[in-house]
Amino acid sequence: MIIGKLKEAIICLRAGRVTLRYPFEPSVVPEGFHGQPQLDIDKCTGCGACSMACPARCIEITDEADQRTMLYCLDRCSYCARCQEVCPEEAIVLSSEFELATDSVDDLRVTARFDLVRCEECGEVVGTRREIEKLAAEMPEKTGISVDQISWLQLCAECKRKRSLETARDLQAPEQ
Amino acid sequence: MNQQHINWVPSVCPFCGVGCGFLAGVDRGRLVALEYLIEHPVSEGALCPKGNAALDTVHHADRLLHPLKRVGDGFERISWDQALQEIAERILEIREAHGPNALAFLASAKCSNEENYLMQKWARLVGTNSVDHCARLCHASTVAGLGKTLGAGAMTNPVTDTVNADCIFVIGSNYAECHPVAARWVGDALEQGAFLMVADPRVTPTVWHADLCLQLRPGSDVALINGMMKIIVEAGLCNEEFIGSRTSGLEQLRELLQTVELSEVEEISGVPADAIEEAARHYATAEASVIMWSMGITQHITGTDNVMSLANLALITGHLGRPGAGLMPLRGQSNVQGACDMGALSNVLPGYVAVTDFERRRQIAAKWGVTELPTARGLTVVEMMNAAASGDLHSLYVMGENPIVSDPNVQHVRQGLDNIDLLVVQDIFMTETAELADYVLPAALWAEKSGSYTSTERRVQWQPTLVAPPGEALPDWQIICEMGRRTGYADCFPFASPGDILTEINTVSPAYGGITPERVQALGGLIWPCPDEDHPGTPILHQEKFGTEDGLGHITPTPYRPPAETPDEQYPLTLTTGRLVLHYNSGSMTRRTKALLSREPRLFVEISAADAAERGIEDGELVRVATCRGYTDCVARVVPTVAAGVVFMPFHFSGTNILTSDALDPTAKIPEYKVAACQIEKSPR
Amino acid sequence: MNVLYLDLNRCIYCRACEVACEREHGGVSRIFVTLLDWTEPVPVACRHCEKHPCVEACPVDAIEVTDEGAVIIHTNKCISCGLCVIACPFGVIELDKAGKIADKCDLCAHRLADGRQPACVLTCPTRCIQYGEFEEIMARARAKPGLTLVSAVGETGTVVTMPDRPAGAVQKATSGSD
Repeated sequence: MIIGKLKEAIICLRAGRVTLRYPFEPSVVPEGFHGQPQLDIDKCTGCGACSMACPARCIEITDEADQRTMLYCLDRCSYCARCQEVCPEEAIVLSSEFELATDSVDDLRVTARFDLVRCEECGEVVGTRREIEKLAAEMPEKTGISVDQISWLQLCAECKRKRSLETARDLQAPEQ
Repeated sequence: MNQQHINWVPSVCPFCGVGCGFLAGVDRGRLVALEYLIEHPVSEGALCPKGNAALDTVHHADRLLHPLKRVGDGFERISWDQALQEIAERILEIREAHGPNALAFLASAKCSNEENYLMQKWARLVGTNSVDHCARLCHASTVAGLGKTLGAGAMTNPVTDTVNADCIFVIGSNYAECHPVAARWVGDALEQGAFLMVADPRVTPTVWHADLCLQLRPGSDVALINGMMKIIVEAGLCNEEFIGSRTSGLEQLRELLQTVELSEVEEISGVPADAIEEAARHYATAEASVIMWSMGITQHITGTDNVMSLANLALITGHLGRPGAGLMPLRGQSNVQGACDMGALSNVLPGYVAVTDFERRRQIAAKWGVTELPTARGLTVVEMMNAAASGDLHSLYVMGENPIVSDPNVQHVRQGLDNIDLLVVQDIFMTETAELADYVLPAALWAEKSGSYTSTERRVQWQPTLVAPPGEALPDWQIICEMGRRTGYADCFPFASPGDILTEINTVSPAYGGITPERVQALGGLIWPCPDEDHPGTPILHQEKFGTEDGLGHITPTPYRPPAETPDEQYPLTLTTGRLVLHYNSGSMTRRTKALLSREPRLFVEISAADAAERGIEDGELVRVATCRGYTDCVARVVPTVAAGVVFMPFHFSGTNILTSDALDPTAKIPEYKVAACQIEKSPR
Repeated sequence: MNVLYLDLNRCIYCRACEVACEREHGGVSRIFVTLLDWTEPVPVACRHCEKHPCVEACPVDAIEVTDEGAVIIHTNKCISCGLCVIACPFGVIELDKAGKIADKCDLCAHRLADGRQPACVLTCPTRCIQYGEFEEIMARARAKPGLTLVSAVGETGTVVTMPDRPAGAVQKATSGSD
């Protein structure tokens, strides 16, 4: 009985120290670790896909006047990385950061602001300026529709439907 | 959804009178899907929005499930046996105490031919001709006017025959909203070069496609048509050969037309004389012309006159009895034609036999196994409500109608129904009328019973049973049979199925002679007159001779009379009413359908920009519409499609008929829904 | 190649197509009928454009052009970024009520698969919406008297004819207001 216990102690002592001297030395996280999401504000277009995907509803979007505010409440984050998966711009990445203890919840909140574009006709929100500029820049080359034919990017869906006949005329293929 | 289990059954659309078909998908006792029936001869698969939503009301949570009896302000569930026995006893008591004319019955244009036949049979056996239905409120004047002039109060040509017309004259009909599938055939005709002219106070979707639009004032139809006829007669555009061989009465018409001045017509109708002339010339000179009309013609105190003047127009130009040439009163309900054919009207027995016609009445009595039937003309719908208010009517039995929403001047109707001793309502939902009833009986709807339905073009089609009724609900024919037996006429109601009833109809109504239960089940059914079992049906009426006794078309001159109400200082606007494409009649079905209600959710009034500006009313604002009968609050729509001085309200929501006039056409007893003097102001709320 | 054909001259704004589409697609209509100036109805469904901005805009390749020329959204791939909604020239792509998934007309792929025409085509009371072989449809469209052919976006687009309405229906009304 006692001999058994001694054997155990010997095994343990032979193994040496297995824990880190954390916090006196840094803890290195493995690859693929899901730490705090980090937003690259230069890449983000404010489309809101992350907000829709987030199961913990960390990302709140409010559209006011000419501004879209995206509030990342990282205190609620469950580190699932759905935002990273859906982000079309690769603007949000789960970092290796995990030392998040703080006295102030504001330290875990990130706000991003974007210029909004409202419908030229009715004032309904169309999207952020970045989204529309991106589409305007890419579309001619990708679709072959010339720049001056593209007239609808600043209109909401309903107003586009009302203008659909004019748009169709603009886009009309030449009659063979 | 697993489509393999679904049994697809051809069905008849339960809404308007066009008689479209669709395939109803039944899976394990429930209606689960709808598919388009491309083989259908009238609709070719097409359905309007209501038709698309036809299944939504079938398994609706609001359906009535049990017989109910009034207890204080509420209802108590009772057994069928108790309900039928108590109602039968009270009807017999009232007959004992006040005579048979203290009883009245409302049949229904939504029920089958068989059910309407039974309803009027029961009423007449009980001893009264006071059995009527909502045809009184829609095409009673057509039945009267065409009956007098042509001898048959029905559409002369099928809807699909419009495609053969060269000139289509639409007056007082907004078929694009009320009978959308009719627009299919008019559209085809237009593509072949036909000329479309529309006379309507509003710019309706029907007008959008017109070549000529006559925006007349409500109630000026006779003046306009007389003006057209004057131009035709004076320009020598009459069809002399047709007039000579097939008509009588032209001389009297000539005399009347001599008193008509075009400048006056212009003033009364508000239509410029050159437009009237253009319309007259197009109508008269086209190879084949049809006239289509609906409530805009019939719902006036001059409704019968309006119809007769249209018949005159067709008779002097010979536009009758040929493909593409005819008179088309478009009827509004799936079986309003059939309910009239079955004699569910207070003045006629089945087959339009006048109740005063001794000889033929006796023949029908003999077939029913009695010696005599009541001889005096009974009360019509509006007269019933008046009699109820004055205390002369003690019992009203209502099958599938909602007079508290659909009748004119509904505050008066409410007084009448409050005053009545016994009100029985047999319906599928707790309608506004049922809420006032002493007994409410749960009925089966179109899909839960079989029977034949006659569409606007006289096409009799069979609706097979698709699913079982919910709860204890019973088909109307079973309820009426049981009522008939319990009121002492057991021998007269031996029927075990709707087919048995149709077999009796075959013997009583000559036009239905060959429309047997076996033949009518073919896709598309049969078009009456179909006198015997080998007859193929008659799509076009009056080809050889008219249905009058002498076989001639009777030209019947009709002088112009102004509407019962004209605008004055207190009520300076003219209110006219009508249908919307997304709703149906009193709305008890369509207001329970999400797809329809979400697109047209509330009552509104259309008002011209000029009238709105004068009153400081903005588009979308809540306003109060008032007539001398009451007021109702609704949303204003400021539109360019009504003329200044005219406002329009749909009648599918309770509220509109608080305002409408119950002045009656003297012949057909149809109320003047289409003209009421009103005022509009910002709602004080 | 089969295409949709909208003959605007025949539209009566009955919205049967909307109700039919709603019934076929779980309660949401993907065809929209807009009424301009109270008198001019414009039915709009996906044009299935040959140059398809929505396909190019989608960052996750959720929108595909089928062999039949239909432009179809694979909703299970959608990330709800809304770029296709902005990119669509005709306003026929919308996010669902929760703002989650973009969807639009798929030409009733489930019906075409078992040989039935799209629901809006069959239900249309006035034959305003038709579906058929491109050349045949073009022949039909060219044969319409007095109509302008406004759109044939390549051979996979939707063919549209519209009436010339210089004055409009209200002006056509000969009188009434005085």
